[in-house]
Amino acid sequence: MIKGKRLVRLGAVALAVSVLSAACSKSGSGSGGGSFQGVALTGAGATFPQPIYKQWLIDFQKVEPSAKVNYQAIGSGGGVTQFTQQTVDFGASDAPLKSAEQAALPGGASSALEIPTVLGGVVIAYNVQGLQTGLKLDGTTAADIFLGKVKTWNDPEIQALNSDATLPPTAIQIVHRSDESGTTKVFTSWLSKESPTWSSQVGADKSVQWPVGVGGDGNDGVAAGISQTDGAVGYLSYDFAVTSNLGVAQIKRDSDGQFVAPSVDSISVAGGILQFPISETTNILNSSATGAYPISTTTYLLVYKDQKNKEKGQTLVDFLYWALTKGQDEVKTLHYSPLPSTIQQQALPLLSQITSGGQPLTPSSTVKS
Amino acid sequence: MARSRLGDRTFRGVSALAAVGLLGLLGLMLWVLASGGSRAFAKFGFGFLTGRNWNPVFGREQFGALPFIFGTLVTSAVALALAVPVAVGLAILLNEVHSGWLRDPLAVFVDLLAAIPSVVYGLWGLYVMKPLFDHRVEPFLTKTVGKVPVIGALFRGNPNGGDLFTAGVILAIMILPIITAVTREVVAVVPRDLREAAKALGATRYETVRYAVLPYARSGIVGASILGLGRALGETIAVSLVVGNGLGIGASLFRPGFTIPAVIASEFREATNIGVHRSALLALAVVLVAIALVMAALSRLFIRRSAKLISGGPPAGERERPAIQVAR
Repeated sequence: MIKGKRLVRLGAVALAVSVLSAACSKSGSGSGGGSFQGVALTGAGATFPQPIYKQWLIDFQKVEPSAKVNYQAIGSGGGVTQFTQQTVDFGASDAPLKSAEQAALPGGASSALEIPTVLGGVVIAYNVQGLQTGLKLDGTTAADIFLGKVKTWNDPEIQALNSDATLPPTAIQIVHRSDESGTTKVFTSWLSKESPTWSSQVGADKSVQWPVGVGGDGNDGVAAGISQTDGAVGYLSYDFAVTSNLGVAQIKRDSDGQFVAPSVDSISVAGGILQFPISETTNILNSSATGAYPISTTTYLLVYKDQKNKEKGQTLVDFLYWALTKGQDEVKTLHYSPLPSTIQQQALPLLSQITSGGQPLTPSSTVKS
Repeated sequence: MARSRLGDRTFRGVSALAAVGLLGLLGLMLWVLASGGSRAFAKFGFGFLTGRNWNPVFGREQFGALPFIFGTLVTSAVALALAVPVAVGLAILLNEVHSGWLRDPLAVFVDLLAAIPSVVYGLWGLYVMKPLFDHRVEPFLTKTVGKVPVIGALFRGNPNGGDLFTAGVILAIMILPIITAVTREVVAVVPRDLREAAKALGATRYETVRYAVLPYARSGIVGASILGLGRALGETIAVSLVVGNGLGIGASLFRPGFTIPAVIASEFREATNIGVHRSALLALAVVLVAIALVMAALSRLFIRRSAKLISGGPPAGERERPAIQVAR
């Protein structure tokens, strides 16, 4: 009993000290010496944004030197699980939380925030001798190709979209992902929107039962599969495709019939239709924004609104604020797309919902300057 | 005296503990896998083993293990069929041929093969072997062996490099060292008397090996093959990179297949417990353990039979070649 009481008292003292020190750091802002240094954090989740998150974490540490953030790219599924079990300080997922996953959170459905961080795209990449990059495809044709209905490259359905190109009679070989992946989810979701046949026969998820084709492990596996076979076609995440020497298809926009090639800018524009709050069905596929690339997607960081540890909460708020502002400038160098400014302006106020002990946590001055 | 008895007792206690602990560990592992997989078994029942669909799409989930069982068995069979003859030949060469210049480097080379990590085999398979098989080896096999009746069916189809055959070949290379090493030891312990007796009867070197050495070493060679089979059944990353990861079942080896370890490794990271997907993957693991146990049991049966053959002559009702027969 006595021991327990002492522990409680010790805890109270520790809490008081930490609150005090945090208060000091905030009041001492601007005067240099007392500025908030951050604390160590752990996060886990999606593999798709890993390169940019790693870069962010390195650069954020230059702002808050004690903020050692460890990000483990174990996959979105694992990220959501660990976030739900509260074994990490933040989670990361390529897909918004399903309502069942929301309900499973320890604090209930609206206890967590889903904050979009960067945008990416999925491209249709191919390797066909005698065919330049920039082949034109629409959703129906893409679905028919991946369904195995369109079997050769000179099929009338492809020729109709590419009247000026000489298409070879090469057989089409499909290469898809064999591992579960957010990239597959985005691509199959788009095919489901475009083709009723795809929607009823195959559907959309992180992995599906492919009607035809060969599976490759990861973006590397798919890229290798495509580059080794004449006539091969597959899908890759944009940041990966841009560094490979494969042909990349332009995709027809349903809204105005224009063909758009994937690029950092055309993907960024697509994010303009993002609507808050983020829900299970949120996506930016077939974005109606002018010049937007149709197969675009966003990725989210997951944080709890109520932060048990104030210093961790403060570091998290600072990191998110920094990532949504200065961090966005670094995004393009790694071939991701930044959030459009309209979305950035809507995402930043979300941070004010993060509290600790009932007190809102506002970004430190260090990340605002 | 008292001291040695104490030593004996301690030793017996420790080894009994180790033995029971090992069994306990296996039991625990099976229990964890089976309880994790129970939801899938409950939902699909026996159909889990015979189903040919594997559809992880949430809302239309359907899981059948047959394509993976098929792929696992076929790739392992191809690997054994290719590796065992080569391994036995190598073992005999290393034991029976006494000129040193080829023997020692070859022995080192085979041991070296065992030390290469499987992911290196996988990457080499993906970037070197797969294109080679796609453009050269498989079209050649289709044109030649593919024309032979019956066996030819294995080598027809649409070669693309990423298929059951390529995976089998890479597995064969991977299990070659362990089969060779064990076979070498087994061949080395064939009694001198047997060899000398054969030679005394006028047997050539080949006949000595064929009729004296190999029959004696047979059960050991089977044991070596089982060790290799174990590795082939469980190999994950190298297979996943070259097997094509498709759900095909059929006669041709030139089709994308999938194995149990490969699908577990591919899908487990992202599989959630909301549907039965994760449970189905654990159920697949149970199936894999069952396959391995059945193989081990079969091999023990075979070893016991052939051991009887050597020590006590052919069992009643079976007409087998005597262990030594040099007539011609």
